[in-house]
Amino acid sequence: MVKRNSIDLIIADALSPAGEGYEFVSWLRRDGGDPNGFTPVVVTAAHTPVSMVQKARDCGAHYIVKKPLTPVVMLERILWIARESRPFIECDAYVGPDRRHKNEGPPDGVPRRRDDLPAEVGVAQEPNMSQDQVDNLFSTRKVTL
Amino acid sequence: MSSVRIHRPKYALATMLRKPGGTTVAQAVEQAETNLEGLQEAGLLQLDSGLAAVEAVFVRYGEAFDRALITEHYALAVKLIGLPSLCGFDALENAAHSLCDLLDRLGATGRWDRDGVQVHIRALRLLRNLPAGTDDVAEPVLDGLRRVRERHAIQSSN
Repeated sequence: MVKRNSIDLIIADALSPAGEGYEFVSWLRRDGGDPNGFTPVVVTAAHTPVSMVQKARDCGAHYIVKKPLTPVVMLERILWIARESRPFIECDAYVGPDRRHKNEGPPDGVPRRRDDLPAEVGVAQEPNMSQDQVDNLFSTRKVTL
Repeated sequence: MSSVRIHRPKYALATMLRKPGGTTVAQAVEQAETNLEGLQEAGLLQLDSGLAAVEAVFVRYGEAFDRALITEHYALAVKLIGLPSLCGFDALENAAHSLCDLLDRLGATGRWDRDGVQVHIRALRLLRNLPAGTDDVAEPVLDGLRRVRERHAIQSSN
């Protein structure tokens, strides 16, 4: 079915503790190809065993929603997917929507890394950037590591 | 050395969202809530048979660690999740998550804690028998389960 029909949204259950749902999403992202390789996926999970956390994180779903499900939470996630249009990342270790889509800063209690910007913003040292320069900062470029 | 490719797919969902007409968010949520109410009776039956199955497995435990039985128990406990909330038993939902956390940890560490599991089984039955919506009464019970999880250094969101 997934190979033949174009699907707008997939809601998949993680199913058993072995995580067949995560494996399905992984397959969809890596080998599914057209027409659903980029299709938005929400995975619902009753309980994620510790051994499955990494698999869940790396499967390539847009969101993993923990049960109990509520209509508000599900609808919210679907609207987020539609509105945010997250870019898709494809590399050896991961295929799926960009997971770094929240801009919340470092987690509480985690020391800042050496190359993080200082928490306090000091006095400006240079003149303001032009709008073009600012826009350029946000334009996407192909990255080769 | 690996390369990263970035794609910007167009989602049909985004196009659909921009189209005029359709159902409003408030209507969609209300409709979904009504649909869920219709599932409560069936959910309660499933919850009760699930609880009975979880209790039946506990009776089979001995004094020693039994990985196969813990795995079986976990698979049954996971099936409870989602049902208590559907039927208005939020504290029972919390306890079911707690049991899953504990069984998962026991299976991973190879430690056995019969008392900890038993406390959970009894708590599930107690919370099932409390009238729906009396979650404040359940707080000390959930606190006890939290302490069991702490004993196993389980970090859970409950």
